[in-house]
Amino acid sequence: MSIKPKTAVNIGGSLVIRNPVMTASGTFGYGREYSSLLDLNSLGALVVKGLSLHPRGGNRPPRIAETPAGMLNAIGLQNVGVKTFVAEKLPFLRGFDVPVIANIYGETLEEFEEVAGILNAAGGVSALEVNISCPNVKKGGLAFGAEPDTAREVTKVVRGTTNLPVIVKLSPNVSDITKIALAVEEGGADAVSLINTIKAMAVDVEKRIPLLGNTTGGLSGPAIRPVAVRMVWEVVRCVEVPVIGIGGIVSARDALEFLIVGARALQVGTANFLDPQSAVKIVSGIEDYLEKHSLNDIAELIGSLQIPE
Amino acid sequence: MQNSGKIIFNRELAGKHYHLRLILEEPFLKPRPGQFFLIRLNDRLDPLLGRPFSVYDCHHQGRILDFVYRVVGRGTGLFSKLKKGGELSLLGPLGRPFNIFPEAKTLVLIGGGMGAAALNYLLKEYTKGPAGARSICYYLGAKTAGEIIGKAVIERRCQVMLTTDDGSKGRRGLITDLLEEDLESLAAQGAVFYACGPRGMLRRLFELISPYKVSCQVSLEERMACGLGACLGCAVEARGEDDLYRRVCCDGPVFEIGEIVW
Repeated sequence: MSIKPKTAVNIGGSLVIRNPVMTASGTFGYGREYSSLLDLNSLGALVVKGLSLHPRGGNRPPRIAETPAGMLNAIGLQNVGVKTFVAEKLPFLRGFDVPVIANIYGETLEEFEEVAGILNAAGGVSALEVNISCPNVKKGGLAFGAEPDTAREVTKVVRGTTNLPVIVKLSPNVSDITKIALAVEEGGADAVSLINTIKAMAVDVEKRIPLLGNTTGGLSGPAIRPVAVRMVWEVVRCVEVPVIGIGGIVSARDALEFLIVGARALQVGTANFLDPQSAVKIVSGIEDYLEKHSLNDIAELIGSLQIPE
Repeated sequence: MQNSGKIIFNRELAGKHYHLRLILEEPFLKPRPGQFFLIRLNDRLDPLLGRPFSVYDCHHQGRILDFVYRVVGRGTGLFSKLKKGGELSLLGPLGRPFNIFPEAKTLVLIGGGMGAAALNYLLKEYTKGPAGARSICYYLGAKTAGEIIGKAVIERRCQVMLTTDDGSKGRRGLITDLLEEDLESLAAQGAVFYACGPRGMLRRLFELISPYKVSCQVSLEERMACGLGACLGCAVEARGEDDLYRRVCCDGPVFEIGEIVW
């Protein structure tokens, strides 16, 4: 009889999660929406929808459009605001034994600081994920994440406000993602997660109008996975902190690619829309792979990529 | 709520419309009129997302589901090629159903084009018992005679007022024009209104019906991803005091007409 392989990973700071599979921000609501369809306790962690200081209405519809093996979205960070989250959404999540990671967003450094401070004091939040990579808002988001200096600055501010682990979510919409990753590591990030969506556009050729109300949006889904794997591979080779891989993962096989190139953990996003059980199926698929390959600990798999001479 | 459905038939009706009948293979919930299922082609990543289909009819407490859809793009084009015995992934029943008023004496249904599909199951639920003193007027509009959905079934159950854009059946013109002539008298009878159809039809209906203090429920369509209220992709602008947007998938798809910004 074989012993079940170890799947727990440390994703930065002192946060150890029981398996490397999380649900990505913006694709899993505040957890409750999916709670009748899968056991939240079987997730490594869940990342809630991006929270801002004040509630945000979001962008005008249409907000999504399907593209080949992918989808565009331009939600515009619609959310209930951090205070309502703490008062009305977080109590439900405290009833589960799963780390809750709060994704945070600000239009200014002061807003990032205030949101981080509120969540730090709330209790029931295991880590913060700093969104400096949303392509669909005019202020904040990518405005901070496009340059190393501003990315470092936001990270420092959040780092200085909280003792929770700080994960910084990076954008692929930059010329060299490793420079941003190094900058946020210098700024005190405990981990980086990547990639956010790729800025993209699609057109209704009959009406000659953009398919999205916001004109442009963020591309997600299987279509972006090779780009994400490449960027994760680049980033793991230049930073010391854990890297969390995100981008088009729909199966355990997809998740394994990220682990092999060196991601410590993963986030499953668009796949939640295809099958609400995606994340839990990926967890068991990873376990099966470890057993099949006689690996006792997922650590033996992470970063095991070999490049033939 | 997650299920697998085996295709009993997938028949072509006229005018790019198809009638799909599925039998569910897992435990299921009986859908209520106005609810929908997110249906996905198995084992494919392209097209990626499920398609929201409102329930056209159901049998055996919801184990057998009927949907009527129109081929509008690549996704529904692939649906139209499905054969008997094939399997589909389903999520549902989803969404806020139509509010039923068992005591209502006069019902008015307004269906435009594909919108008639969502109203079919509602009409069935209202007409399953003895008719009693209730009268049902169905204002049914279509582009052309061949695109009228379920006319024979509707005519057995209620009084039908018909228009087509080209005049090939019923009166030539828009269904809202026909309704406008009768609206004052219907409202005076305390009629309850239900509508589903193109955005332009619903907008016109809103203009016509606003002066009257009547209940008018409309079923909306929007592009959708999760179907569960998580992704906020199916937003529709609302007249709420706090929320700017409502989610068609779980705050709707049925709304009171006055809740929405037309």
